[in-house]
Amino acid sequence: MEPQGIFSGTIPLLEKTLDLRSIKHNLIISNVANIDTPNYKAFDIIIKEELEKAMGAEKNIKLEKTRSGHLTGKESYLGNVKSGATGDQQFSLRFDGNSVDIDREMANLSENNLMYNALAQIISKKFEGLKNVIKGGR
Amino acid sequence: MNFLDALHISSSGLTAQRLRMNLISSNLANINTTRTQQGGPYKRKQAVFAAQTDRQSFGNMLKSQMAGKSSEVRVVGIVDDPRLAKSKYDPQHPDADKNGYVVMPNVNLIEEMVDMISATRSYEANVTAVKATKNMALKALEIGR
Amino acid sequence: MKEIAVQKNIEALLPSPVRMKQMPEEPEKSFGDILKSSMDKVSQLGREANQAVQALTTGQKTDIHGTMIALEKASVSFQLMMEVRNKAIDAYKEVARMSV
Repeated sequence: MEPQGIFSGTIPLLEKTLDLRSIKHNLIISNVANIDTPNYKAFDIIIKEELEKAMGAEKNIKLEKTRSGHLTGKESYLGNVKSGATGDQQFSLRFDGNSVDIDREMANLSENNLMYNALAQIISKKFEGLKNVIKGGR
Repeated sequence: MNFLDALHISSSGLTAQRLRMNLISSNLANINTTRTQQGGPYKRKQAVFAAQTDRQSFGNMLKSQMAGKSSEVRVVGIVDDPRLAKSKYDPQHPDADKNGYVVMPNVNLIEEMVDMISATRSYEANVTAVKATKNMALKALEIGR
Repeated sequence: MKEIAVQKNIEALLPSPVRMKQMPEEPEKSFGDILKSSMDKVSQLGREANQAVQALTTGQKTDIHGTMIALEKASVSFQLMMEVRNKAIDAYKEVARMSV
């Protein structure tokens, strides 16, 4: 009987996604702060790809199969998060070489915010469920 | 992945935009100034922004370089607009030269107004970013509740 | 015997089928060994939670959600350990009450 066994399941997935969403948040607000900086190219990360890398999967994430031993530790997967100017953010439509599109950044900000809140809520509910079971419904 | 850093980044953006607004106000106020301390008419001022990664401890800087290049914005200088000033023919003016021309500041009213709108919008975007950061942090604190 | 039955009952209550597959196939360890290694893991989680809180308070690492999750994990596993302890003691009392 391993106490850590009760945290296997979707909880590690949620943790990693929360970390990735934090990173993405920081990149988005960097883009917003640098909206008038000449020759600045907007940065972004793609959550789905980064999550798949972090969970050690090659295709879609299937928790039961892939988790055994591919994760080496928190810092190492975060150190490999690839971020950079993606797709059409690499070249700019503006005179000063800046490629930040404020509307896209605002939309990304809202979406990221919402997803982060949702994930925090979900993981909270998961813990609540575990506590409930442990107390035996008393 | 750091809420303090997120707030630093956004506040640097706010500061930069506010500085830009100050320069715009200064340009507008001096739109007809023909006499300055340096002699000659007022020259339009512009701020130069640069993106810089956060000042952090070395260890954190290393991690942040790897985990995504979030960067602050810094004002690295205020430069004069190099464009030529307009001259106006006005022999009655106290600063007119021997041909009767007065050199006016190279400030264009319409340009400044548009710049002002842009600075305001950028400032508001940064304020929204701060709100979003705060919202996320508070939500994360509720995980155990 | 009762202890093992109790342990299996508790396992059955917990909602993670994955854990079942991780049960070791090696020669059977005694209940005491299993309990001891579990308690080590629980205290490990508690230590991690402590470290996370320290990092947060000294401002070294303002990772709010990570800290909260670590704290929750430690709390939940402590609770589970206490419940197991209660059940084990109850089981022991039950056995001790058996008239010879």
